[in-house]
Amino acid sequence: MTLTADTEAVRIEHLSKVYKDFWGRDKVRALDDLSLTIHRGEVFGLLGPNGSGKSTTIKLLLGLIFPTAGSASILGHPAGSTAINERIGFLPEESYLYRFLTGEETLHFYGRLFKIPRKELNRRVPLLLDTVGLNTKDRKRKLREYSKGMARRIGLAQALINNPDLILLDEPTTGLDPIGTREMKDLIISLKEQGKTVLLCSHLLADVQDVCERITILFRGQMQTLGQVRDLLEVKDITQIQTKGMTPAQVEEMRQFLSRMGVSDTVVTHPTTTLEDLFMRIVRERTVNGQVVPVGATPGNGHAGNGKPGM
Amino acid sequence: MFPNLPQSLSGSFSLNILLAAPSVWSQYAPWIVASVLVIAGLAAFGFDDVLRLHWRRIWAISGVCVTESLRRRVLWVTPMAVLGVIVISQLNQPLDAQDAIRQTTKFCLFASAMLVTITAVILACTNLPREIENRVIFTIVTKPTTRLEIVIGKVLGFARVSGVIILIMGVFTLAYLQFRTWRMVGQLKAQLAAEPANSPLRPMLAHYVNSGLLGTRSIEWAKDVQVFARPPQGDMRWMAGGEGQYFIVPFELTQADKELLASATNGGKVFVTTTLLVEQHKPDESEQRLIKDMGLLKSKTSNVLGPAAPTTAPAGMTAPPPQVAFRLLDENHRALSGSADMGVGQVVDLKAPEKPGMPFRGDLELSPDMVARVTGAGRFYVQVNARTPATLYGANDRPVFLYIPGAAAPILPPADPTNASRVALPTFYSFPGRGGMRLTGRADGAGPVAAFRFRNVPVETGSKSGAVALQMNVTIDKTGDFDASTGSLSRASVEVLNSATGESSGQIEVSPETSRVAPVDVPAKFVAGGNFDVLLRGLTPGQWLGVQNESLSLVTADRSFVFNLIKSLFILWLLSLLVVIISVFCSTFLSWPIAVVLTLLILLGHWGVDQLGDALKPGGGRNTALEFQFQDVSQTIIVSKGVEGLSSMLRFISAFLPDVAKFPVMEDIERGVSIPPQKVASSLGVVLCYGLPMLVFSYVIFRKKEVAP
Repeated sequence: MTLTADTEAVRIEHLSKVYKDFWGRDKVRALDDLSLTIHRGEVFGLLGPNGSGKSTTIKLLLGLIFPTAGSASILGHPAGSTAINERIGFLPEESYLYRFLTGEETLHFYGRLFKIPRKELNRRVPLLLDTVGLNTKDRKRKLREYSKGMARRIGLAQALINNPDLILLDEPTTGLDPIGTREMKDLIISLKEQGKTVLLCSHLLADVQDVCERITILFRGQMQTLGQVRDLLEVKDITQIQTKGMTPAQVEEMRQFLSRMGVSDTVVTHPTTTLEDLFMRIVRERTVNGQVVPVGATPGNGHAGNGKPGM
Repeated sequence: MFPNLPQSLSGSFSLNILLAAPSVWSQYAPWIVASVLVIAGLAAFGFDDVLRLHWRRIWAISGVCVTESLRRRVLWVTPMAVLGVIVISQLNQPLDAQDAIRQTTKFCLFASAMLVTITAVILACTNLPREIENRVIFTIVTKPTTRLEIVIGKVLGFARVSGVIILIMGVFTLAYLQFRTWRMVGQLKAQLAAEPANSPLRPMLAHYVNSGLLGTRSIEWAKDVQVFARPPQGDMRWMAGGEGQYFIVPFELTQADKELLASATNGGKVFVTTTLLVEQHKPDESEQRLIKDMGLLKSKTSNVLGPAAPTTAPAGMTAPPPQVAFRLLDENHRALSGSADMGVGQVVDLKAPEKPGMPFRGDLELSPDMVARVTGAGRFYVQVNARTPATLYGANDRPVFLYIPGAAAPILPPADPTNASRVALPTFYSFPGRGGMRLTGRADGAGPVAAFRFRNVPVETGSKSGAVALQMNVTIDKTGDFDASTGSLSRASVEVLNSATGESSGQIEVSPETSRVAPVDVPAKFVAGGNFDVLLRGLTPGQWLGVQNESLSLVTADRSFVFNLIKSLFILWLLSLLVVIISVFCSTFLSWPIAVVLTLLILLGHWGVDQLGDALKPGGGRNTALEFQFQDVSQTIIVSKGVEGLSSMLRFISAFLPDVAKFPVMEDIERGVSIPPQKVASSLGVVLCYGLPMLVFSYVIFRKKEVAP
C-alpha cells in the first residue's frame, strides 16, 4: 500500500525526547529516534515495559510535552496543534478528571470544549453513558465516589464525546475487571469496524494481542520491532492440527501414523480455553439465569453494572 | 484614545506629531506600553490562538472553576465574615449614630475586601499547579482548547467566584446597614424629643433625623484654603505676628532677570524686600508671655501706634518693634540655602515709614552665594513670617520684590495665572498642627480666619428647605491656655460670602469635634452661582482648629446609598479581578506556595514603597548614615550609598507594580461621599493597563509550558 496523507493516521519521524534537569543538563533520554507510521482504520499497539517510552510518545503526539528532535503529524496536521484535537480522543492511563463533577456534567463539560450544540449534547451524552455501561444512578454521582472501573468508563466516554477519527488509549484496561476488559476490547474492535484508528498503548500483552493488527515494541526509548501481530507471533517450524471428537484409540493411531511419516517430538493434548473466556461464560450463564453480577462498589442497593457485554 | 493625533496628522507633516508626542506619551504612557505588550505577546504565536478564541470554551472552563469552588464549600467563609462583622460592629464604641453607621460600613467592606482577596489568591494560585500535578490538565489541553482560552477561562472563573462572594457580602452589608439605621434613627428621634430646646446637640440630632444616617452625597471641596489674621478685603490680606502665620510669594526669573542679578553680584547688592502695613496693639496676657519667651523685651518698644486691643497686660507693656523672618525656598518648598540661618528664617527689622499710614519696609541682603543659588534655581519662593506678637501685618498685591540698587525696576513675581494684568498674589498659611494649619480660637470671633475658596461649584439650590449643607471636619488641639474646667463643647463659626452678590450669611455657630463631620445648613442663596468663600473661625479660647483643604466641603447633591455601595463593590470586584490575574500569572510558572508569596509581593509592593514615603526619597541614605553616627567617613559613605541604591531599586521596581491605592473601596462610602466616576474609571484603568499585559504574559508562559510532569 502506498502511504499518503490520506492513508496515514499518524506519522512519526526521528522523534526524540530528552528530559533535562533544573540546570538544563540531559537527565533522561525517554525516546530515541522513533520513526513509524500508523495507517488509518487500524488498531495499532504500542508495547513495552515501564519506562520504555510509550507514554512519552503519546504525550508528544498530544502536545503535552515538546520533542527534543524530530517531528510527528496526526491526520496530516502537526502533532500538538489545537485544530487537530477536534478529531482526536484521548484516554489517559488513569482517569484524570474533575472529581467534583458528576458523570453527566463531565461529559457536558468536555462536549462544550468541542462546541457541540446543547441539543446534540443532550442526545449524545446518555448514549455514550449507555455505551460505557454507566447506569442512570451512577451518572448522577460525583466522580470522587466512582470506583476505578467506573472512572475508566467515564474516562473512555469523554474520549469519545467528539466522535473522533483517532483514539489514543493509554493502558485502557487498567483497573477494569474481566468483564470491563472484555467490553473495552469489544469496543476497540467496534471502533475499528467504524473505520476509526486506534493507538493502543499497553503492557498487558494479551489485551494487545486480542485487538491489535500491528504492533511495535519499545525498549529504553528505542523501537525494537514493528509488524503485523500475526506475522510476529507465528512459529513457522511447528504445525498444529485441531479436530473434535477423537477417541483415545484414534489418537494413538494418529501418533503412530506421524511416527511412520518420520515426524518426531509429537505432542498430543487437549487445548485449554483462556481464563477470560471461562470467566465470561460463567458470568453470562448467571446473567441469563436472571442473577446479577456486581462489578463495582455502589451505595445502598444499587450496582455499577449489570454484567452485560456491549460496552 | 489619542485625541491630538488626528489634528497633528492633518497639519504639516510629522513635525506636529513629534511636538505632540511628549504630551501624548506622558498622558497615555501606561496605555501605550500595555497595548504594545499585549500585541507583542499575542503576536509571539502568530495570533492563531486569538483567532480560535471561542466564548463557549472559555465559559465552560470558567464554569468548572465556579463549580469547583462552590462544591469545595468556599462560600462557607462568607457566614464567618458576616458573623465577624456583626460582633465587631456591636463591640465598637462609636462617637455617635452617624459614626456607628460609617464604622459598620467600613467593617463590612473591609471584611468583604479581605475575604474576596484572600479567596481569590488561594483559589487562583493553587488551581493550575494542582491541575498539572493531578494531570487533569491532560484532558483539557488535548481538547481543541487553546492555552489562551484556558488562561482566560480560569481568570473569568475565579472572577465569577469573587463576584458571587461580593454579591453575598453586598446584600448582607445593605441589609445590616438598613437594620442598624432603622434602629438608630428611632433612638435619635427619642433623644431629640428629650433634648432641651436650647441644647447645642439639637441641630445635629435634627440633621441626622431629617437626612438619615445612610445618606450619600456628592461633595465639592474648596479650591484652596488660606489663613488670615482678619477677613480679606480687596487685595489687602493680614497676618498676625506670633501666631505662626506667614505668606509665600512665587518668583520665576526671566533671562533678563538673571542677567541683572549676575551684573549686580559684581560689586553691587541684591535685596529681598518686603513692604507691609503694620498695626500693633497692646499685648494681651498670652502675647505678653510669648514676647517674654521670644526674648523681645530687650528690644526697644515699638513706636507704632495701632488700635489697642482689650488687654489685661501689665500697664506700660507695649508691642515690640515689628519684625519679619525671611526664608527662600526652592520649587519643592525646601529651604534653598540649606544653611542653618535660612532654615529657621532670617529675622529683619521693619523700618517705619516716613509718613503714617504708609507701608513699613524690610530688606534682606542676599549673599553672592545666595544670589547664585536663586539664579540657578530660576523658580523659587520667598516666605515671609509674621514674627512680632501683638502685631498685624498687611500685604497688598505685591508685598515682596527683589531690589537691586541702581536697577531701573525691581524684579517682581510673575503674572497671576488667573489675571495677567497683575502679579501673582501671596498665599497665606499658618504653621501646621496635628490636623492641618493651626487656627487659634478667640471668643469674640475676632481671631484668625481660615478662608475656603469655592469656585465654579455645581450647586443644586432647588431643595425644599431652601438650604444647602456644608460639612466641616477639623481636628481640635488644646493650647496651654485652654481652661479645661469649663467643660463645654468646642465652638466655631462659619460665614459664607457670595462672590457674585457680595452677600454674607453672617456667622453661623457650629460645635466641631475632632475627626467627626459636623453638618452646617446654609441658605442656598449664599452659594448661588457656585462662586463663594467660606470663612471659618475658632471661638474657643485656648484651642486650635486644624484646617486643610478637606476640612470644609459643600454637599452639592444627595445620591443613592445603594448605588454608591454598588460602585464600591464594583471597585472591589475590579481589585479581585486584578488579584486573580496576578495569581494565575504566578501559577503558570511557580508552585502554588511560591505563587502566593509572589502574588502578594506584586500586589502590595507599590503600596509598601509608598508607605515608606520620605525614607526612600533621594537624601534618605545620607540621613540614615548620619543616624548611625559613624566615626569613619568611609563607613558613612558606604551606608549612605547602599541605602540610596536600595531606595532607588525599590522605587524603580515599585514603578512597575500596580497601585492598589487606586481601588478606593472604603474611603468615600465610609464618609458618606458619592464615589466619583473618575475613581471607578481609574480602577478600571489599572486593571486594563496592568491586568491585560499580565494576562497575555500568563498565556505566553503557559503556551510554552510542558504540562506533563
